Amino acid sequence: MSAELNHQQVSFIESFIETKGLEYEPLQEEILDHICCMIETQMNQGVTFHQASKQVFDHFRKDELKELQDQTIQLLNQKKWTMKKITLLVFGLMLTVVTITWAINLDPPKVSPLGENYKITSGYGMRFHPILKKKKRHVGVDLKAPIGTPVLSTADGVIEKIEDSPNTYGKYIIIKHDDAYQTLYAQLSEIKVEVGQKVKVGETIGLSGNSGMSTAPHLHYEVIKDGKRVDPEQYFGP
Amino acid sequence: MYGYEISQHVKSLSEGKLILTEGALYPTLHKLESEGLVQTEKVFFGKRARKYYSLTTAGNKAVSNKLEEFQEFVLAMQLILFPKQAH
Repeated sequence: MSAELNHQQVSFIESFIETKGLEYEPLQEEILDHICCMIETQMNQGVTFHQASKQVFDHFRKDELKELQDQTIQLLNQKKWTMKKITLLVFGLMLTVVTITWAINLDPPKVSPLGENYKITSGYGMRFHPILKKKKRHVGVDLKAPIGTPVLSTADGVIEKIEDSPNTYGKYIIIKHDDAYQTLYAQLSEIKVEVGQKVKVGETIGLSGNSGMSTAPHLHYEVIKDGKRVDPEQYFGP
Repeated sequence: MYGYEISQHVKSLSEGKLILTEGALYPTLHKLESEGLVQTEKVFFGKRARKYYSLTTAGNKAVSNKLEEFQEFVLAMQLILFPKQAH
């Protein structure tokens, strides 16, 4: 005849389970039955309830039942967790796309306005002005250029301004590239674009000359970042 | 079959080589139930409640799929571990 635990014995095991921190009801019932079965199996082999229960209780490590419960709940929640992961992934992807789009829209000048062959005759920074005969900050660079040399846009952009200031820049063009960058091309002999026209990097926008306050034919080139003149040589490509 | 019965069945089928611990068995059973692969029936006696598990139709399908997958895996492992000798 097989052993079956009485009411009191079952209650005893039930309280053991509770002290082990197993509170998830569907598991509580099942583990109770499981432990009862383990004890009954031993009792069928002639072991007393006292010995069998002690042995079975020792079988479960200190936090084993609690861990079992945590693992069950974690597994059951895994679907939600996966959804969370997918949401995060989608969000990350969107962020990447936005960042890339933003980076593409940012179009700083990246080549010299005279192509690969250029010679800087006067760099950016403090210099002795050849005409004004005094030290002055040079806000751009002068590139040696025989009159009529094609002047190229140094990045994609829109023609923002075309002017003629005989005492300073001579004929000049300002291109707006993005929210941060503008470039300025001065001392031109001829202008080949119109205000509002879209230009591509490398496109001819005019011809160099000697039209302003100048001692020799050259192209005066400026890079304006957030409204401030910066050293154009940084943007002459690799 | 109920939980304890499953663990004993695995033990006897594997001639004692596989011991299915409670920590492995019950979380898995509950997960399978939440996925609709097994169904349960509860039988009460006294203070005790026994939960009997059986496969659903979806569960049966999943078993044959998994078995096929596993057999393929075993075959592939055999090919890797015991490559046929060239004549």
